[in-house]
Amino acid sequence: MIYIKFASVTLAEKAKNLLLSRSIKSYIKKNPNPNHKEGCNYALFVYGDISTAFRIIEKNSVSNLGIESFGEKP
Amino acid sequence: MIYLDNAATSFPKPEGVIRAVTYAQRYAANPGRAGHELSLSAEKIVYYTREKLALMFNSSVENVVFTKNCTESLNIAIKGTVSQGDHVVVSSMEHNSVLRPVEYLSSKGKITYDVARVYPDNDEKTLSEFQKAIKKETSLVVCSHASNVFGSVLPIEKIGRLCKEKGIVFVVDAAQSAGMIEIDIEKMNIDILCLPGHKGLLGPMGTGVMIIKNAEKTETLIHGGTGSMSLNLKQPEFLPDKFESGTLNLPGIAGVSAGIDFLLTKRNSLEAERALINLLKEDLKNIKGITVYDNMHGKIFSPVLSFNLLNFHSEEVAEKLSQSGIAVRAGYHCSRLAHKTYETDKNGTVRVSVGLFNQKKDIKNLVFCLNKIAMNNNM
Repeated sequence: MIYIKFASVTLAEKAKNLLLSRSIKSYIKKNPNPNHKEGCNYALFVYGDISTAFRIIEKNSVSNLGIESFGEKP
Repeated sequence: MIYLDNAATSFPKPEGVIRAVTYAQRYAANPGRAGHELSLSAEKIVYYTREKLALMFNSSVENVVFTKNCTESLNIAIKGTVSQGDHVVVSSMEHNSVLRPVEYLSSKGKITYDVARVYPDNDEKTLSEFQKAIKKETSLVVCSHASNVFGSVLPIEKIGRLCKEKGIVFVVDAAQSAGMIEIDIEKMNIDILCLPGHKGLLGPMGTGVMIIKNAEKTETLIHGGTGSMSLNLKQPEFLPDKFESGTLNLPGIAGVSAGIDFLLTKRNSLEAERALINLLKEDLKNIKGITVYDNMHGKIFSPVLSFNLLNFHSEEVAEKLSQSGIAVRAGYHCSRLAHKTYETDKNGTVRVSVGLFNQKKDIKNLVFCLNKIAMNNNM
């Protein structure tokens, strides 16, 4: 699984709503694989091309912790 | 009962607010903590409330911080921003929610502060008082948008411009204006806007908001769990988590959200409330022995009016009105300086504050009762 990682649920919600305004659907879950330095954070799973979604999020300065993958390959 | 104490809290609350609070109690879990549906759906309520507030005051959604009331927001804004040796300027219309934190910091030797006198009928003169009060060491200016006692509105856009020019953090106490008078934090150069959720926004009591532009300049007063970066012992530096430790008042936030929705359906509500205050001013002129504290001279004001009757103490008049089923607030309204500014610090004032649900007949009833009190005393 591949997702975009956010430090807080507020930022994840902001990104989700931004993507929705561009007709890209996504959903939020707690990060299934948090690293051992940070602890809890949130994952945004995108229906469609994650790179496009990530570019939109970056372009709109929604603070994020990058794209991460975990478990089976997408 | 006729409720004319909306400056303390709006009453009654719209039905939608009561429904939203009940819904949140029944169907929502702790937002921003777990990944299960009840927690994530609770977070949606929080997020959309932030979004509504960000739109209303022209800010970004993550800059909206929930607190328990406007006083808590002001305490964070003031105590979190100043450093040892700083100088602070406040206006002469401030509530104790500003004056007490500032006086406390001063008594501990952390800061010094000066009070800029407000001239409610002359914005230029008020601005000049702020200019005079600002020193080289001034790091913070705190100013009420509207007086909770007299309804006078301060020229915050001009004061904000002055602060921006001098690189001073500008904090606005919008306890009596948020939801009633337009506030644009960008246009007005406001760095931190503090407001209650339960007055002009019509939400439940126990809700407050702080909208902060730059998290770096202000320290949090509360540290703890935020549901983010949990393995790091340092408090997150990003917004809103930096200032939101512990469980949020979700039912309250849901109520604020519904309050904003209701407010948006009521266009020109402030004009209607001001019309009631103007009607009251006119009618009070016919009562012998009434002193009305009004020097707005046609300027914009929040829907509040203070007066005294004969030589009664204001509390005595309020008690007589209460016996007739009319709720007003008398005394000093936690605003010693404002009363000093208007020279009403001896007897306080009787304050009438109207809200969305008041009608002309409420004002007529109030005037009838005041007439009765005056006549009984004159007999």
